[in-house]
Amino acid sequence: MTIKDIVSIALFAAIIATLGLLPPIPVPIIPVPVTAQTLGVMLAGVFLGSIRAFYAVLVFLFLLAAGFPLLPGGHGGIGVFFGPTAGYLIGWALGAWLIGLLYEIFCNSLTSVKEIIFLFLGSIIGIYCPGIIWLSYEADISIYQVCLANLFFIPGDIIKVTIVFFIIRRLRKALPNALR
Amino acid sequence: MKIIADHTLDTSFIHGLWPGFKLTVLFGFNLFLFFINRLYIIITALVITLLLYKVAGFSSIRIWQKVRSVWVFFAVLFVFHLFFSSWQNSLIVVLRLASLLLLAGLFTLTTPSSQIMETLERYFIGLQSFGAHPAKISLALSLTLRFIPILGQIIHEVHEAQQARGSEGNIMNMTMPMIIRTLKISEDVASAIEARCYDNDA
Repeated sequence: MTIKDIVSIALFAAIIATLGLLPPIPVPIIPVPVTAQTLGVMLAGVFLGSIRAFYAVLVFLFLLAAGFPLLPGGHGGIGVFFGPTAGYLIGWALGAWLIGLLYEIFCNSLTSVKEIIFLFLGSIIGIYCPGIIWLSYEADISIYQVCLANLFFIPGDIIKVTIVFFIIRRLRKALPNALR
Repeated sequence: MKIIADHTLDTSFIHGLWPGFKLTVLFGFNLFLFFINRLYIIITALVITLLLYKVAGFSSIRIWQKVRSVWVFFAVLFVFHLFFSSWQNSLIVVLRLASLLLLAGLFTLTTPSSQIMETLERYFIGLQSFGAHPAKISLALSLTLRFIPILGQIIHEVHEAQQARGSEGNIMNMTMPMIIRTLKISEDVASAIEARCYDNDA
């Protein structure tokens, strides 16, 4: 890890934290809001690559555990790791890592379709899987029912993936060196 | 832009406890609760948690504040289990969740963030043999805290600039200059740290 790596890890951790200042959109039934913070998680994966994106989310989660209210609505503290959203938070680390990994593997043959698929894979496999498993375990609801409730996130995810996709496309033109 | 941590400055028996001890008790207690399916044990745990709030000198309003954000979920969960399993089960699930959240909330209320970070950073030293660098982790953490207000400032400036041009509605017009500026800043900060000969290969 060079200094440059550490600074960019800190930067993306801060981006995820800053996006938490935007108000969350509550979702019916399950207590997990749609938040712009996953936008930062996806961007971290794309910009930093697997390992550093993973660390960036870890730094964010660490500050969250230390009691800083960095989640939307001013939530924070170690309590969030025992609450219903805990699995999704762990999933952020996994999702950022997965998106980073996919971008690293296919960095020479990226197409728009592939990029959109990667971003969706990251948010669905990476973020939802731990989230659903934890929520179904903690609330004692079957996984199938939690999956159904989870469908409420899909529209928000489509919007977020679209935003990230266009940001990346325009950044490639503006700053060709920022993305490998 | 303000970020206010949730802890309080009062002094009580619980405020004075060593944070590492509190953290261990919290994790032990919550792990124990996860494997317990007896209603009376979970009610006892909840009563103990509420008593701890009283010992720490918090009023019932604090307790309500901790539960307020999730009470709708509690209600939905309770009704759901009432229909699909027994009333005992719905009580167990809801009360367990409540005591988990309340105890963790008590830890955050009685321990300043600086102390928690100090305690957790002590564990990093134990991870040194696995290739972790405590100094670098600390640098990343403090840089992150410094970057948050800088990013807030950038958002504010870009927003004002777009307002002056009359194009504030467009998300892309807002995000592109923001991201380009933040990436530039990260380069500047990295070279500033390197120029001061911060140990690069520690």
